[in-house]
Amino acid sequence: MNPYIRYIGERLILLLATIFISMTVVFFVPRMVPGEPMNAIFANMAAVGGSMNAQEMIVEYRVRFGLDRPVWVQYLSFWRELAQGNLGISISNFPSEVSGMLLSALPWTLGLLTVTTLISWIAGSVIGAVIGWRGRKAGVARLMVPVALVLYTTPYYILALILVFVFAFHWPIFPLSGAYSVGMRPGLNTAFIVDVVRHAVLPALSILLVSLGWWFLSMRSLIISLKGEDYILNAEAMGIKERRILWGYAFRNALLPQTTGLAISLGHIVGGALITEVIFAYPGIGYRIYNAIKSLDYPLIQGGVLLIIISVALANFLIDAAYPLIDPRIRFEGSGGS
Amino acid sequence: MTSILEVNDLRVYFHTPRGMVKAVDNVTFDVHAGERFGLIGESGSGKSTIALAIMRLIRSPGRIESGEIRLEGENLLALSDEEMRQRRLAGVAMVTQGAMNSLNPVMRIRQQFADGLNSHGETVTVDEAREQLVDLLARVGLKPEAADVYPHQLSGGMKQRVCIALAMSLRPSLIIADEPTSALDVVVQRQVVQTLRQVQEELDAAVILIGHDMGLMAQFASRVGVMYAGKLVEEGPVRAIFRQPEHPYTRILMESLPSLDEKETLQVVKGAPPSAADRPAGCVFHPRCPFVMDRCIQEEPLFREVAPEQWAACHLHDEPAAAHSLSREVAE
Repeated sequence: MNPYIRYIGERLILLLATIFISMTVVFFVPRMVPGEPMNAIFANMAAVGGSMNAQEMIVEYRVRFGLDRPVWVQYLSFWRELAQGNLGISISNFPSEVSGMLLSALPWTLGLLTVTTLISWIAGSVIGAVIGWRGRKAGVARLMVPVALVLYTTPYYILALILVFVFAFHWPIFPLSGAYSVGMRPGLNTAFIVDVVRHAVLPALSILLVSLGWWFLSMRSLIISLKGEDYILNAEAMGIKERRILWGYAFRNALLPQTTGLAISLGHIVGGALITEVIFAYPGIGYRIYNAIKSLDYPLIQGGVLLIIISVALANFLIDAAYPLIDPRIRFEGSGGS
Repeated sequence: MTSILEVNDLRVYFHTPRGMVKAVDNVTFDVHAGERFGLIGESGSGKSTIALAIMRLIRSPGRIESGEIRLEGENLLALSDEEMRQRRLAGVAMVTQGAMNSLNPVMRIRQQFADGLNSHGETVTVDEAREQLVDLLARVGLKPEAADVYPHQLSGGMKQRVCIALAMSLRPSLIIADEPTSALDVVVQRQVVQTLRQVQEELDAAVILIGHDMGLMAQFASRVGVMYAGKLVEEGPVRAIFRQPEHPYTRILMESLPSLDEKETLQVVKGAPPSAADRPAGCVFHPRCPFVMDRCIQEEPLFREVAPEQWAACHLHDEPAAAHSLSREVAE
């Protein structure tokens, strides 16, 4: 068999195993938390003026959601439904479908995270490479190092709170919360896009600055350690231009560990984004999951976490698949020359 | 004979927090055009530092304090950084230590070759560059396929040959090979040195071979210099140095070579070389020298011609009786 296909096959099995194990955990843990998920429904009903015999209704609804059956039966039926692509119905937003709720939230999270992660990874790596390479010659730019250290050690949510306080409350330059202004009609027109970007600036900034600090520090130390490599000295002895040595020799070799770092930190980024979404009431997956956990909405928790696990595992899988393209040493016979 | 390289009174010091380290101190030597010159010395004697100084690649905290390095009459130490960069590979090329890691692992050989050409204003097409490289690879005994692979697909000896081929790209007048065989096994070592010799003859370039393997030196060099603790202690034709060393250190070094005919106890140089940060006053070798005199402890010997074309820095040559004992003992 082609070794590359075999390699991809192994990664794929790993991906499925990851999903299975984490979904099992996510299925059981919320059910061990004390509390009655049905209360959320009645709170909603009470809000619109309904008053009924609560105890009987709760029993009725528990049967509807299948919560009266033994847990392992629920577990099996969860996998059976999932295999058919059915994520179930939300308890707290009865009778909305979980898949529909998640689908409407997905673009917001995806937009926020993809853009910020890419910008911070690329910008942090490039700036880190230049400053690491120039060393003492970098001058004032070396101040980036303590700044990055402070940024990277600041938790996302603290930075988010500071940003909200300064730029939304004290100087109301940006909106306090939400993804777009109340009363705006979503559509592909300039006014709406500008509004969305304005709402995204602060949440994006809180994620961007923190991760930028990390990518900067990591790339800088990689480049500094690579400067002592024999092939860098050899390239200098060959009179190759400095710019070419930095990007073609030092940076390209630092890219592999830097990409590994990206793979490892993806989960962290997604988790961080969850809290950021809560602080800015940003209608993404994180905000949905937060509300689901608060009201013990089992189907919504499961669906939301499944989505995050799949996306993190998928991103890791893509990075694994990309390694051989970055580093020829990971290439296999049959796919990498002789 | 014209000199291609003149090193005059070169000093390279490292300014470390624990004090100044004189890695290379008052070193003077010439290399003639088309000559094979060997630089011998123990680890830390400063021979690699000389190589890096000639390339002007001494890294902080090291610094070239004073002296002159003239390549074809031009003082390299007076050039700007950019001018010096252009001299590398075109005027003086280097085959670096550490054969295993001297090539960029993520780039094909032909790309690294093309980088060298492009950085020196050579405008060649991809095909022309590959053709040139294949020709160079053939000279070092490698097949054309080596141009298209990544370094990890080559063996250690092959990598070192590729480095020699790359060093030849712009036909420099001087190639410095800094322990090119240090990471290779004995058979491959001979092959690499033979390759170097063949290349030197074809290119008619001068080669400085740096190393501590006396056998390889004897096989390769026509003239050698012996380094000890940052100083050049002796220099001369390789035959003369092997037959009649004029410095006690060289002498003991020669006696420490195992021989097939004589089965006696091997002589070793007693003690260890001084730390470069804390060098003895007077002659640097006096604490280990079997012929040490009062004068050696106070006064540094001058480096001067003691026999035809043979230079040494030793007070023994001022004392006819002592000098006689030195040569007589070697002759025995």
